[in-house]
Amino acid sequence: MVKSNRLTKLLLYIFAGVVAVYLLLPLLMILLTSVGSGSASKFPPEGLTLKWYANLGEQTQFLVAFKNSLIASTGAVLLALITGTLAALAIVHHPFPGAGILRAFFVSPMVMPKITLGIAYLILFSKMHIAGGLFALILGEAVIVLPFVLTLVGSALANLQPAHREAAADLGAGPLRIFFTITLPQLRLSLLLSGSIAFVFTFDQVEAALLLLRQDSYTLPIQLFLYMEKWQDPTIAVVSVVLIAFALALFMIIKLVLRSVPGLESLFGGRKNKRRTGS
Amino acid sequence: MNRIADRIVNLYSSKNRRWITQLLLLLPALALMGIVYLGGLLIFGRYSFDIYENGKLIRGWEWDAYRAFLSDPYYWKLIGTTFRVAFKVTLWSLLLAYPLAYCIAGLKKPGMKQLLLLLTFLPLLVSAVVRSYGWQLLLSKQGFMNWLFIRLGITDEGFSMIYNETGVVVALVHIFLPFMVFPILNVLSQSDVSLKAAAQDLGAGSWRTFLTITLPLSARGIASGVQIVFTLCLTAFTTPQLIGGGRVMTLPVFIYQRTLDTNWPMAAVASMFLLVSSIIVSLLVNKGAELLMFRRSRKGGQAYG
Repeated sequence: MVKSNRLTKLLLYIFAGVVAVYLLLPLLMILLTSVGSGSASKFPPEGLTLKWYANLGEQTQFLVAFKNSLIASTGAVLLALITGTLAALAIVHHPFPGAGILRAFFVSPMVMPKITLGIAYLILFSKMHIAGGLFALILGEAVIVLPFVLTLVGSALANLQPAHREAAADLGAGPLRIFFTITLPQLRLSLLLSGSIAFVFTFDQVEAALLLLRQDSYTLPIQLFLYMEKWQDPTIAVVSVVLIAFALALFMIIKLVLRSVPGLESLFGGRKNKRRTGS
Repeated sequence: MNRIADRIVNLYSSKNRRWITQLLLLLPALALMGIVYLGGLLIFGRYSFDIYENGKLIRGWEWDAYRAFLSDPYYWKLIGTTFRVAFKVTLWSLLLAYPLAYCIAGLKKPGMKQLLLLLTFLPLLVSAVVRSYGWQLLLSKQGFMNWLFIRLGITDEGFSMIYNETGVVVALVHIFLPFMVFPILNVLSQSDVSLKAAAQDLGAGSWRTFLTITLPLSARGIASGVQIVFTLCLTAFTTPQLIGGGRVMTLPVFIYQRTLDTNWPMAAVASMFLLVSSIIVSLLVNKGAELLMFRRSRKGGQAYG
């Protein structure tokens, strides 16, 4: 009995290890290709070189695209955070008839096929004469990430203690003052969380941006996508490595920020401890 | 002048204040969603009633595009491919994700657990374009997978795994696997340990415990995983386009190509079909999971009660 148990466990670990390798393999292959000296994607590579990295400096279009991506993602996330938080306040704190339907409407971009949205944006923004630029993309992406903000901030709002707000109101604070001194600080975690999820999500958006953008406003995934359709040289691998490094750095920063915000540490520690004992 | 100002002040009286505040709070989101989202979709949807002939759009209120889409076998083949790929990807993700989630949930060493969690969620941070590129490298004729297969003696010439459905499925499973692991892991780490212990105390073996306790308890997680992955697959565009190289025609790829040659009526009709079918799939999966759990509990009640 105990023996067979141990065997299943061992098999389970081996299986998990194999799946982990499967998950990591494409990233490792990109890393290998970026330092391979052959120009084609052949395995095993003929030699090792850093010349593709040296080449990257000349590929200014990727640098411009990276900057465009940063601008578009930041703009869309800020827009979604502001509109989403205000709407969540209205829906959660002062429910009204039809609030549920409105909420469902605001969250519905989640199920909408992104390619459909991309084409709808193309047509709409062409009629408004703003297609091709980053401003149109910011508007369009904000719609796509609004559901993240609304869900996360909305559930945080629902969990807040009304007593805190009532106490502030009793002491004579106006609604604006209550919002900025009581509600907003308590929303910090969910704003940060939904903001970073939204940022990572918009940074990778292809469908909404592919048809909408003009050459000088391409974002990084679009530039990569179009480059990949035409050419197949290790430059893409190098750009991909840089992107992976950027994603890792972002992940670390988010983790650090979450740790350094006072009051959040215990929350995260608490959750981790619960999981540990639960297993 | 003063009277108008008075009226405006009066309007913002305590009686109306709540409603006006409410409206002001909702206004930014309403404007954004109303103009950009609803406006865009309505204008695009309107094109589904136009006629596309010889590369030109003719305004009208016709059902031609809908009729063509639903009657031509070519489009049904397209729908078939889309659903077949989504089904394969969902099945494989489930087969890979469940043991992985079970393993992570059962690990007692926090270090190992965190490492596996990180490995599972790290790919999520990396762009789908980049990951598709990785799979292109792995699956190409001279790529790593074929090198490995030839070394192992499975094949002499290597398989062609790119620009076909196999390649698309392998890459899509990689891209959506975390979405399957997460909901299953969630229910597995929440489920009550005492239930498992009780079953074992009553003499159930580890397999029996798993089949009668753990698996039914995780039905909810499996259902939401299946729901997320299946609908994401139906609407996936980047990977089928890049790995399929135009040779694996799924609905999103088809929509993209029709847009490029400005056949907006057909693109709009196909989009509508995609949206409706992903909503129906979500509802069906939910309903199915509910029925399954309900029947189990009822059967259990009869057998032991």
